[in-house]
Amino acid sequence: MSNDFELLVQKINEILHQQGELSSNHHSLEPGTSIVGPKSMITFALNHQTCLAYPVESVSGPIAQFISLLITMNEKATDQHSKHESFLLKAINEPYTPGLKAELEILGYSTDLTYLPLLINFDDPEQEWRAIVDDYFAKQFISAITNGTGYYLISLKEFSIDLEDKKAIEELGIGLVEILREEGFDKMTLSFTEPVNTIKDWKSSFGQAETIMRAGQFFHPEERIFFTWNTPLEVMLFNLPKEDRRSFIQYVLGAKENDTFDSEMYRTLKVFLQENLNISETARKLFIHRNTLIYRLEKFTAETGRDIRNGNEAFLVYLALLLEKGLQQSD
Amino acid sequence: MAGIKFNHIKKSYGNNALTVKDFHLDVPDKEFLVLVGPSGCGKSTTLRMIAGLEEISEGELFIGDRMVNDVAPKDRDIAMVFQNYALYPHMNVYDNMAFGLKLRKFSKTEINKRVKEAAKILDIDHLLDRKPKALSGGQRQRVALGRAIVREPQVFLMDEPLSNLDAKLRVQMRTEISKLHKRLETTIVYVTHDQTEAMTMGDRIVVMYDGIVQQVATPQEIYNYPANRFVAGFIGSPAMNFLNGSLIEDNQSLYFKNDSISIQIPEGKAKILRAQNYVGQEVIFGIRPEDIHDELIFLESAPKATFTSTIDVAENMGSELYLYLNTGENNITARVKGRSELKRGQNVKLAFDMNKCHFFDAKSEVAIR
Repeated sequence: MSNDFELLVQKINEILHQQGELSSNHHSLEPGTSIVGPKSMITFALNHQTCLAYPVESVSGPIAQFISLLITMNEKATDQHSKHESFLLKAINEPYTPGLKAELEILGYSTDLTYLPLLINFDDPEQEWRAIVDDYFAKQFISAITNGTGYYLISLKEFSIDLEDKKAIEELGIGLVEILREEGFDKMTLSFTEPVNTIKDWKSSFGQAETIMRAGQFFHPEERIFFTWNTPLEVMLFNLPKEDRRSFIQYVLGAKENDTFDSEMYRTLKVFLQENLNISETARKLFIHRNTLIYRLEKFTAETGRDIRNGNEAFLVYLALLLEKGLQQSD
Repeated sequence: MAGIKFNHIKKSYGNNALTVKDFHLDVPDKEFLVLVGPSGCGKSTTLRMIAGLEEISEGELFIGDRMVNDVAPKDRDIAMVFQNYALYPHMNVYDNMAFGLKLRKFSKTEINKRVKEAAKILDIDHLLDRKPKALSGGQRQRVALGRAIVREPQVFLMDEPLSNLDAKLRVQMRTEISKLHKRLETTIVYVTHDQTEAMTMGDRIVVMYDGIVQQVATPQEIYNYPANRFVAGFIGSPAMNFLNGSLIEDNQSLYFKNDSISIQIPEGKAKILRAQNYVGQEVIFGIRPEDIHDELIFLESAPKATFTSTIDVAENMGSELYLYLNTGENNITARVKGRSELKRGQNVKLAFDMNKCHFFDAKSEVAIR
């Protein structure tokens, strides 16, 4: 059987003139399974596009033409796809020129649409995640994939999402992360920026998406998805020189700076600020007793001299802890 | 179907302290295990380690007889359900449920059979043609469960699956997931921060705090015999009352005393405290709000376990009344019968049911038994 496969590959490569990357699932046939007759079609993938072919016994005359046709179709599809990819890469990497808008129209896209930019970074050389993303957004996007990085401009027309509704966009993004996780993918990071309605903004938008991703991963490596509107603080702090970050931490936390990162206090303060310094609400959100929270805050004040029941002090300490979190994870 | 074995599992991120510290537990096949604890306690990280979404820093994890530390998530034969019940927006319910099987190259006949069966179990067979946006929150949650069921996994992993539903629907889905567990007879590991979900759904509960397993037991055991102050305070609503004080021997009886309260301890409990040399030591006294009574029968039968206090707030819940009391040094919450006429500002005499009280070591906060 493996001999048949080698001959098949040889025959296809003759037609292909050795172009493209060829693989097949032929080896997955059970020994003894017939590869002749009406069920003899086997699949092979060319440049990651699935094609169908007959076994070598049948590769002659019309069947050869059929294979040739499939390959041509595959090449055309690949060619069309790569045109779109190179266009997007040009639009997000090179300075804007009016010609880009015309080019977008030639490729069949509307220039009036608003697109949602999404940057995806995956540690998966097989790119199996692509099928999930394609189906999740019903292929309503322009995309470019380079290695593990995917640039997507998603057309939201079909999604009935109000572009001002950030929560709806967050739900859409979080939904994708959950679906990917359900399928066993987790080594990924996604960043969404504000929807763009002109091609002029594509470049800056993806620049922002990259910054958010880097800042997000630096401060919150446990998280998988970031949105521009939720990470302004992280982006600002990420751009500070390392030495400035250290001296700020030293200034705010004093002697406590050298301790292990206090994740409990970080979480406590984050909620405390979110709840407008309300002790009871913070305790409720953290599922701890009110007295435990008071004790925790007082202990911290005693150790640092920072009265975190005061809003200004609490915010300074939160910033210092956020910086410390990032620094300790990057060290 | 398979059980799970955690063999001294640890998890840390970078140079930071351990997020999960020495998780060691056997989960038998078909058990409904609930991991519960406050935000950041390590419960979701533990679930994600089972799923393979987080690497295990130390220790071994078995699903059935197979060690899965290095097995890719998609090869672990598990199915996950998350809180946002994510669905493919453009696919109808049938295709949403079928998609995972299509990715795994199941035959059309098999996919059809599994989707139809799961839809019937979840009572969504009439919704198979609908798109997600035409579904209610509860229906979407069922579809998300359906996506997991069709996989027929060895283990279901559920990460706060009900937390985005409204209160009424949450109660309904709680019952349905419990029924589903009985019907499917599969191991379920369920993560929640909601102690009511933990108490009502789990065969056993794992209470976690700060990356450490505080107690593993049945809901009944956890409630009646909490291992430490954290568990005692976390499980139960309103939470258990805690009073700091000392144990004083007086005329052959043992008393718990602080500046505002003096209570006689029943002989059975006193014996344990004496045997462990707690006399003269500081301890934490714990009592659940429902074990504080305003009825005459309690006040008369245990006159040395009573106290008088002013009612700060009285919340009438219909069948019961929550009294928030100020005893000077400690705030106490009591849950008395709803027919009680007690009101804010009133002085009230109440009695502790001392047979139901708990004592914890003042330093380690471990229950004294």
